[in-house]
Amino acid sequence: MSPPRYRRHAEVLWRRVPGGAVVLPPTQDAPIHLNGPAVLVWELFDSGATVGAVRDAVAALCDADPDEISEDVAGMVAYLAGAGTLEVAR
Amino acid sequence: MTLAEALPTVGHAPLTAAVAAFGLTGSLCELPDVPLAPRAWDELLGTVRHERIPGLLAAAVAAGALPVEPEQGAAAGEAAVLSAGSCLLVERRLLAVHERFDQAGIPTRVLKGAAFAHTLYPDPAQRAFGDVDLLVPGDHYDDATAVLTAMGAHRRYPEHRPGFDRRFGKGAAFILPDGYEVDLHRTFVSGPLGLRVDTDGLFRTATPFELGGRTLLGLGLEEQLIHACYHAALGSARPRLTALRDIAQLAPHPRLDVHRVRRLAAAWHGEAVVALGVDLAWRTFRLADRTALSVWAPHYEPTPAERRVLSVYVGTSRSYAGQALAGVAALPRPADKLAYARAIALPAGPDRSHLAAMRHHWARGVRAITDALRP
Repeated sequence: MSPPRYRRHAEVLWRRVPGGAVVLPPTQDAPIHLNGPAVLVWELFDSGATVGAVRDAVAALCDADPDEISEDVAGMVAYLAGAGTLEVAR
Repeated sequence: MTLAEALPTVGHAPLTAAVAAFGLTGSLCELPDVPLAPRAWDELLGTVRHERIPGLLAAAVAAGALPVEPEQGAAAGEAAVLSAGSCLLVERRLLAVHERFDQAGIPTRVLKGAAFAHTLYPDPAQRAFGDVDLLVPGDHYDDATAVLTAMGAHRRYPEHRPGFDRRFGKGAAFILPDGYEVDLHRTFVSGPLGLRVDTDGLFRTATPFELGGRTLLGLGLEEQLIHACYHAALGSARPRLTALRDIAQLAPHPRLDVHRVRRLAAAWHGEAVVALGVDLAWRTFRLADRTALSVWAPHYEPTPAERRVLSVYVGTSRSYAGQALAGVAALPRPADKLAYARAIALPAGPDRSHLAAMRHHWARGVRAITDALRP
């Protein structure tokens, strides 16, 4: 079974701001300010990706070892999905 | 006599205008090349928030076009985050109202803020806004009002008389239960210039954009420019920088049909307004780039009749009462003139507080009518 692909939730409203993004998921009453690695992860889910693909892309962009950042990326994806900013791509 | 001589307007500080011009091709506005002193920075930040241009300030800072101290950069970033969040919350209300209108079969065009942010600017964060602006056709106006009322919204001001908004009004402001404002428009402005706009024609063209997974419609490109000019030139005593920036984004647009702009503006008796709006934008942002409209605008000579109509919107005799009363002359049918005059002179409903203001301006208004009727 292939790992799930996530993408940005179609109903999320958002804006880029210097160094980050402000997102308003459909399930939240207040906007969320993403910065640092979180916004990088958010950007990488533009058109749908697996957590592993995003981890590898973040590792390449940050010149980091994928295994070392795996837990952090998974945590960010869990946070973003839990906040309603990501949905499973069909 | 040119527009600038006939209709002097209050300008903006060069530094604020330079921030609002950031990214505009051909602007000769200059940002300082060293960080501002603390007091000057605080003043700038306050004005930037008031003018709703934190997105442009943050972009200028991020691009290195405006050098800042570290704490100033942080403050600019924070202002941009707050501005962005505020716009997203307005967009959520826009989508909610739009969905209810859609379900009720009410056609809409999104005006100004959200539509311009998503169709004209390289980054929507550069165009902030504070409320929902929706245009609906006059024959759907009462239905739209009923939908908003069903959503728990209340009118900010009472209608002059039942049916006035649908037939003659610019529109009305509604306050949603959570405090957000929805400006429900029928036309661009109150008074004679609003009454002469072909409001049915505004729904024959559209500029679509995506928002929150839905497709919304803004006005057609030429109508957008004309509306931006009406809003900038007539909307407030001092034109808002966002409104002027909208004109500067629209006028050089490669798909803009300048002949259609001129034709529509002439049909709506609004050529002087378009010329004034374009000229204000070019002067405010010191735009060196020449477009067909920017070459035409400063040389446009308003007729005496145009100057009389504009005088109720611009300058020291600007007043809502004057605009309302001058509207009588813009209505072609005697029955409409009578109904309109009756509504503004004898408003119905429990709150007649605006009647006192109307009477206060009555003498000035009568003069406005007399002037408007003069050949």
